[in-house]
Amino acid sequence: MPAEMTVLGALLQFRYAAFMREITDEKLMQQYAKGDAKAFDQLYARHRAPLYRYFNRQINDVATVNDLYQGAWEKIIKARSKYRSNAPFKAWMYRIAHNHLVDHYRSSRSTDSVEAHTLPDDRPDPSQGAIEREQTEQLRAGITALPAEQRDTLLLKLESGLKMEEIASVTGVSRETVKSRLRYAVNKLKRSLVE
Amino acid sequence: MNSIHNNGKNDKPLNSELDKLSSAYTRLEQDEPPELLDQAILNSAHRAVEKKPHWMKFSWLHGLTTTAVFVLAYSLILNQPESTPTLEDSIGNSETIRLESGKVAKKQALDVKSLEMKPNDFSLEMKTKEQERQDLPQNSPAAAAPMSASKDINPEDRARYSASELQQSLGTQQGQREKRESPDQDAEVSRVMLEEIASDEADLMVDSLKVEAAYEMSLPSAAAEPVLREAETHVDDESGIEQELLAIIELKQAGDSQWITELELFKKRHPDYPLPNALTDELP
Repeated sequence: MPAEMTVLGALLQFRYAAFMREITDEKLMQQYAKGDAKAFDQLYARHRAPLYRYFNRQINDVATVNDLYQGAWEKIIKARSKYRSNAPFKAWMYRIAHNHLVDHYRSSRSTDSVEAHTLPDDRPDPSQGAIEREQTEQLRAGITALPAEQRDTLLLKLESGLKMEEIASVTGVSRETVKSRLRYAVNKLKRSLVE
Repeated sequence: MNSIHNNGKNDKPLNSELDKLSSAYTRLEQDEPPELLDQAILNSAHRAVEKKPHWMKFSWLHGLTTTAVFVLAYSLILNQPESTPTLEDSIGNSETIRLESGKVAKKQALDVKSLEMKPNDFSLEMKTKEQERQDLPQNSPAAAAPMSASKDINPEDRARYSASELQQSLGTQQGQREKRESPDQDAEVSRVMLEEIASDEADLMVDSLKVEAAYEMSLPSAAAEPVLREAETHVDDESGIEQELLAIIELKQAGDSQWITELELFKKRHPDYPLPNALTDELP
């Protein structure tokens, strides 16, 4: 009997997980706004790593990254009642994150933070690693070296997979500006990887 | 539309470049937030949608109520008397109550004595009535009821005046009646009347002191019991003294010279007790 119950429980959990996977981000956010805390758990599990990397790839100070990451989620939680289901959740979430990051730049007076956010010294030496690892680190260094707007736009594209229109909406610029920033960013990274 | 279409066409090289970059990007270290940070955010999200009880929504009211209760309690503590009652205090209080009740009993006795000492209106009234009865013809109803005056005394007057006063007045009346009635008959009547009056007096005193004792019973019981006992003893003493006086009066009225000796002994036993006029008039 307990074994049957365990199997039944596992089956129900599996079905619930499958059901939750089928639910869109927008629906989950609506459910959370109505008071369903479990919907937020699911939503958080989906977006925690990309959002964290979005901050982590722009700022090299881990403590600041953690603060920004937590602050962004707090803003999302507070703004739950303002969320409208017709807006894509991912774009809405990254708009909040982007604005939070811009606020951070403004408060630290370092909008162009290439010099301010230098790579830490404990990074592995490229000469000691494999070529692939070297290229990866070069890519990381190249992203960090990008101007803030290009880096932000590129990371929004790479981490969130947003369309150009959505990135334009998130950053508050035109689609052409987004496209231009992406093109510049890609060319710079290609050069840095070739070198 | 052209612009959009052109944009779409122009995006293809950029998109292919971005795809290549994306595959290289995924090989980067996949950073993730610390677990503690995850837990903090999830807790915060859960707290935000936690349904609070209705009363917790009025947090200001809760705070106000708590403050008011504290202020009230503090003011009550401040207004409390400094000394809290202890066992010694309660013993002292009961002692005080007992002493007070003793004082009351003594005061009552003194009042009675003072009433006995001074000439009173009641005895004068009795004398006047007796005089009027003597003036009336012998066959009139008033005269036909000798000593019925004592029956005319209403209960309030009886309570007000002590038995000794009545004895005093009756003694006067008896002295006057001795001239016209036989001594035996007179002594019998006066004895019956004095017994009746002494009994009424004793009942009244017992009642009043029992009322007082009942009141004291509402106070600590240790204080009430001695009061009641003292009251009963006091009444017993009074009745005994009255009986002794009655016996002396009977001796005197019977013409027995022994009454003088008995009176002397009585004075020795009760030096402060006032004697009725009937006994003091003919003393040597």
